Amino acid sequence: MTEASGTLVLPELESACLRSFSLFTRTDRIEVDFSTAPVFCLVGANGLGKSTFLAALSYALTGAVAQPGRKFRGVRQYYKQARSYAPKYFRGRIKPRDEESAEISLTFRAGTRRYSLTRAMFNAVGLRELTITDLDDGESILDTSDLDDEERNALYQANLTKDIGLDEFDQFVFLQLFILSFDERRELLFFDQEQKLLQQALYITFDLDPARAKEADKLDRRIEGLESLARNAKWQATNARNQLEALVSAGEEAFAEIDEGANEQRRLQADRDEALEGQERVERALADARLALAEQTASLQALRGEYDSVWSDRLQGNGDPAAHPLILATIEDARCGLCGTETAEVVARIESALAEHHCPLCATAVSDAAAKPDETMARLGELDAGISEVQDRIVEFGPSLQKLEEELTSSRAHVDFASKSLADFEAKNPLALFEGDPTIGLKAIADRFKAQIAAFEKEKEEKRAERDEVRKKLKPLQERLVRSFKTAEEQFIPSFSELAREFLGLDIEIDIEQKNDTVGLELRVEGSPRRATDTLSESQRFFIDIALRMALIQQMSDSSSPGWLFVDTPEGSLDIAYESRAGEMFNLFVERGHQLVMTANINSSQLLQRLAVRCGEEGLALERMTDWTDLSAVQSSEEDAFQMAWGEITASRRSKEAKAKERPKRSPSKR
Amino acid sequence: MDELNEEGVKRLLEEVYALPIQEEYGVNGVARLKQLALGLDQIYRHLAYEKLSGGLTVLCSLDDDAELVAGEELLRLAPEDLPAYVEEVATIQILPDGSLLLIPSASDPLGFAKQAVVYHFDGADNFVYGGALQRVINIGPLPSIFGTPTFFLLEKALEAYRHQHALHSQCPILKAGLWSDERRWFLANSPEDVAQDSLHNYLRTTLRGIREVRREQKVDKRPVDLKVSWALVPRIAYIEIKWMGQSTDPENTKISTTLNVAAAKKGAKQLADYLDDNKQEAATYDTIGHLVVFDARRRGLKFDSATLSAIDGRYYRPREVAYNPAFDKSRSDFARPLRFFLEPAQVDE
Amino acid sequence: MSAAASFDALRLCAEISAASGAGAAAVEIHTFAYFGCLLSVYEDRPPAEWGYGFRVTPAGAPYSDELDSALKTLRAGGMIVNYGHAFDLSSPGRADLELLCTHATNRARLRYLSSAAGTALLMPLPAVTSALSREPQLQEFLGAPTSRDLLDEVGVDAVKAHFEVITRVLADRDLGDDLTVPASLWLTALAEQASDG
Repeated sequence: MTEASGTLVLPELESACLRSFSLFTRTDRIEVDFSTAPVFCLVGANGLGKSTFLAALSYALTGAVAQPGRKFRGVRQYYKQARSYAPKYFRGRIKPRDEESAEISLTFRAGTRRYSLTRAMFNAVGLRELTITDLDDGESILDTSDLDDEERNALYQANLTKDIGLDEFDQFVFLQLFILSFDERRELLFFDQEQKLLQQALYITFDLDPARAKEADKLDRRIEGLESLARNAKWQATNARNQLEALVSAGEEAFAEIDEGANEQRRLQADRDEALEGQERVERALADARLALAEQTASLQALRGEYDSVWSDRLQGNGDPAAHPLILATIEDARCGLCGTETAEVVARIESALAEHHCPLCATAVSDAAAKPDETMARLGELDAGISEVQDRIVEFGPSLQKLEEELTSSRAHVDFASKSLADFEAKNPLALFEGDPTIGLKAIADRFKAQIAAFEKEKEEKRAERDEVRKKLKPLQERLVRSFKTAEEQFIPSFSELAREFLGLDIEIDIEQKNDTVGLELRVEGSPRRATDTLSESQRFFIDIALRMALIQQMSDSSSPGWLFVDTPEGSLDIAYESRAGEMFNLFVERGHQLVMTANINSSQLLQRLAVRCGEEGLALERMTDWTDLSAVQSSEEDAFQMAWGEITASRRSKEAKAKERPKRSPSKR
Repeated sequence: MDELNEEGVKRLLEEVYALPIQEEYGVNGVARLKQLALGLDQIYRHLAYEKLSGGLTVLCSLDDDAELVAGEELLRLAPEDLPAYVEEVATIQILPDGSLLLIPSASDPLGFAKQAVVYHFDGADNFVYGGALQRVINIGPLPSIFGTPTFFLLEKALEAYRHQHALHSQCPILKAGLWSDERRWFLANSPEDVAQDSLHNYLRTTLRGIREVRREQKVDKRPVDLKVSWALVPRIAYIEIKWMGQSTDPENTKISTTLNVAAAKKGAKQLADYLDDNKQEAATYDTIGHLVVFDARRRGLKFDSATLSAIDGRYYRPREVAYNPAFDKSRSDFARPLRFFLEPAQVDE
Repeated sequence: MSAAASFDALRLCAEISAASGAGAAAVEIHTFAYFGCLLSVYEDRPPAEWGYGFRVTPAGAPYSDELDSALKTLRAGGMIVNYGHAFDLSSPGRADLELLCTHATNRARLRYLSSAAGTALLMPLPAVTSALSREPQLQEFLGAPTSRDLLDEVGVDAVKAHFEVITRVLADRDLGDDLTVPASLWLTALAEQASDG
């Protein structure tokens, strides 16, 4: 149906499945079948997550999410940045408890192969599942069950890149996020300043060799880098030149100041050295004091330990039964300390055992060690006195330590101040560092400056020369691109114009142009480039940009695999007339054989209406977001309006044949 | 966590009698106060409050050596000797070694105030400061906050309550609120609240070793009034309170409720059911249910009766309730039910 | 074995026995030791200085392992004897306690323990333990299934908040060294809170 002359085998979506996606509150599992119709449209009010759905699809394919507002610094950089942005994007949309289980599965066709993959929402560099099947024989090409997630992902990237016909996977990422999808929050190809972006898109579309696109991208980076270095060198040269002028004009006066300066510098230096000495002194005193304190503390620990231990021994009775408090208690209170029996017998029995030097409990003979219970109490008293003394000493340490610490803080401050004063002075008075004959010094300084200036100039020239060399390498690539464009322009420009005119109703043309280092496109409305920016509203610009993407996709794709466009339909207000026309434009794209995956707010119902009418039931698959997610109060209040609009649209989507009979058939654009 | 309200705490200052004593006598004063308190505890363990109709003055001298109590009948003795020497009145000084210096007659408490911390009992506790006798706030069940008997066993506490607080309505809460009038023939409206109040106050003042005595909300399935939980062992006691007798309406114009043995038996069944329903608590805790019944039955008494004979008034005193089934025999978690007979105040002998 | 814990056990055994006239129960010794520690916090000492820590048992009472161990050792050593539900000191126990009270090491804790136990002289013993059970942490942890540590940072803040109110109410009064008065006021406030809540 379409005669694209491109070579890229763009893929076609078949189905998707999201699991544990907290944002869609109604269900834990969302399944979408893209294969029933060329247009899939997700309908819902704002804020329900339509953009998130498209972002998730792109993420499944690439492991990356485009972050609006990032400056484009080359394809490789872009991929890295988008990949690291992905988890941040989803973190706000998926609850922590679902992080592990949230995943998306996708099935799509690329050429003669069918890809089936599952990617975890929080692992951009891995795939949980991957099968690639050859559609001709239905055999699976790859068994990835033994691999880990990262290996699987690497295989996927390698295979897909090859199957599509690109040179690197990051080119596919660029393609998917910039050309094959449209989101108004991101950069526009035409109207934003980001010309490098458009240039890369043009390379990929027209130049037919992705390796060259990559090369051009690299050279571009390099030129920018060299420019930056050259500018820097120039600035440094200018700076040094100014300083030299200032120095020379200072002239004679400078000589007299040098002597004073030298004296002052010596004085400040002496100050600083003295401050350092003072600090060291305090540091030593503090260290000594801390050591002494530590010794006292250790001594205290030891004394306390001994106190505890002597007391403990006392309770065990030191092994001498006569000294054991239980025995003593029994005898004194005339009551058995174990069972409470109060008889004189008890005491008598114990006393006699003791007299015979036998243990009253087990009758073992014990030596005649004199019981000395009082000694242990005396010892305890001594230890207590010792503890008390050490504690007092420790307490005394407190104030003196604090004083030393304060002294240290202030002497450090003093050192800092003296050092800074010295450094400031030296910076302002470089001449002060010169000993000896001032005149010689001055000349030497001037010579030094001159040498510096020369070096910077040289650097600047070198970088510029290098840059020019790189430009020379880039030029043929650019010229080649321009030629390729010209070759294709017979197809491309009309293709674009038709789409754009369908929408705008005005004559609109584009042409390739080469400005400095960049190749770009110029847009002309009714013959004039000026009027492009003047006459188009923001919403109109969005749709023109969509038209450009559509044209590029058609251009770059192989006829058997025309590929898709994801459109997050812009929310802004289009005139109702333009809305229907936008619907026509979309329909035209679809008639050319492409797949369209889009979102729509029920408010852009005119667009949707027209598309429904034109595509019919077989051509347009609709999905209501309210089946996926609960509505907020505000959203619920719009339900009624929604229901009405929904009814109208589905009704419009009658059989295409039936409709076709009623309207004059439009000839599909073909060339 | 709860915070303290400063204004509320300020108002409580008047309950801390140690404070004005400290302010009047200094730090030494608090030490003397503690000695005095210790002495009072011992005195009240041997002298019954009710006996001291003539008043009791007890003091502790600020100066260790001073002996301030003097008189012809001066005695030196130990607290356990007191009952033999004291009838209705005494003045006692507590000496540093804990022994007592005593004259069996009254004194003017204010007379000692400059040299000692002085306490005076006139049916309630007072201390002397600010040149006057100052009443001590006492919300407890006994006339004095000193010498409180304490119990480790709930059963012993309930026994003591039966004799010393319920029988003659000695408990101030019962005396004030349980009866429709001072004859103590009929119970006031909703006597169960007063009974619960009284028993709760008593137990929390006298039971040792427990964590708390809590009043429970009486709702359908929960018949128990009080819950006692122990602090170091996993034990809980539930006390269900029932009453028998006749209670009047709020305006005291007629009998509104009459409860008899059937009510007590029903209470026993309710308690048994409750223990069954709360088996899971019993799994980790050692649980006992106690049924106590306040018994204010009087034989043949009607609302418009003019007199009540002693025989009729005390008719039910020995009459225990025959519980059938006897849960205390068949269950290990059911204590022997207790009956607190409440004597009428006015009978014709 | 911790000398601090065994001193506390001996001293409290003596003081509580005196106040009750009928020995000192183990749970009371733990509770009053905790009370003593709280009074040290009242004077801005860090709880760690007390020498051993407390936790609250599932039954809701404060408890210390060191104190428990001390009680066992003292009993085995005949310093304290067991009568029915409670402990009392033996004669050697009394003698040792008297000497230990003269040690400077014990001076500070003696003051806190005496102030704590002193409250039980001025009001019935069960009234003291009942009021203490309303201490913010014990209230908070009531019913917790496992043992929880007492006087961690949060706990200290909670009791200090209480103590600040007590201090403010008693400002401008010379209370000397004995903390019995502020302790009693605090108990009264806790008991009052209970009847309101």
